[in-house]
Amino acid sequence: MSEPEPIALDPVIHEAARLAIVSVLSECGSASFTFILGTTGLTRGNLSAHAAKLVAAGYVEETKQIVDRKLLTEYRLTAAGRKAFAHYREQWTRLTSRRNGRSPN
Amino acid sequence: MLDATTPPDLPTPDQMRALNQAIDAAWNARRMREASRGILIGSIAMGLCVISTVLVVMHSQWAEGIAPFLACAILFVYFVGLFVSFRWLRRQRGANPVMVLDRQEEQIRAAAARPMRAIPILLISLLVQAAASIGWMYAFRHMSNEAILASLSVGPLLAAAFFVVRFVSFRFWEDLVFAGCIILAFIPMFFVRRTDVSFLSFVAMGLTVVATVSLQRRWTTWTQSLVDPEIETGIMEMHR
Repeated sequence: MSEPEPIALDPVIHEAARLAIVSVLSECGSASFTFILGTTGLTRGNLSAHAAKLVAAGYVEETKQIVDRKLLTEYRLTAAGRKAFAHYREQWTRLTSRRNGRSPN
Repeated sequence: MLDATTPPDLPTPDQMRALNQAIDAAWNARRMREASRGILIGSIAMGLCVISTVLVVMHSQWAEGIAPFLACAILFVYFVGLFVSFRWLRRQRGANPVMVLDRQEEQIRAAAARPMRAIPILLISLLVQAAASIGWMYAFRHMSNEAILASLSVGPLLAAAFFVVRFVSFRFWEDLVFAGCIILAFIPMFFVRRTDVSFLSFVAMGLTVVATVSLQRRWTTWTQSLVDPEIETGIMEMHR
């Protein structure tokens, strides 16, 4: 009998704060820094650091603009980010299915 | 069959906690995204109520002689209200550091940057609407009053169903009010020959305004709490 394919959770998304950020952005076309702050409950420093990691990984696109002399930062998931998140969710479903003994795959 | 000697990859409590927090965050984002479009959603509901109200006014005995003017006045007030509210919304969005767009609005924003591509789509939709109008003009001449009323009822029923689905998806009581108002605004059409209950249409329009303001206030209160952390009611607003 063939071995089931190993489950590999993307380490970029798998961290708790980044998972929350990607989950929020998956519900939006784009969202500002403050919107993500309010919905995730993360601190400003935490959000900045983890968003930077997601941007570096190419999953999130960051746009900064000056509006009324205020800096407005917008984030959106890239196509690669959406694909990676969809894959992560699929791997997670496999993981929990395996735990429940429903199916090895 | 799993090998009993191989330890299964179980999610750890921390992983499950992170997953639940991510699910909560996504739910909050979905709700607040919809609340940010309160005026837009309310305008759609109001537009449907206005259509029903105009139909009721045009068929009401008390409005005999003045029905066309009253219908025009209702439409005029609606479009002025639409213009003023959208201008306010645009100003609010420009001044507000808290911003969210859903994927359709992002696509519309991108399409607006390439207006030439929208022209064929606009032409096709105009042609479809013209064909539908001609089709209905022909059909109405050959349909009974009951059949016309039944066909007119389909629109409000579908619209009410849309808002009920929104209520189930986002848990805003305002969506149930919108659904109820759309039905309420159309109900006088069933009684127009027998008794005058046309006031129900105007009541429906008033209630729609109340629900729209309430929905938009959720967003305003929540965003104010993010800008000013001392306003704790915003957190409650998110979970209301």
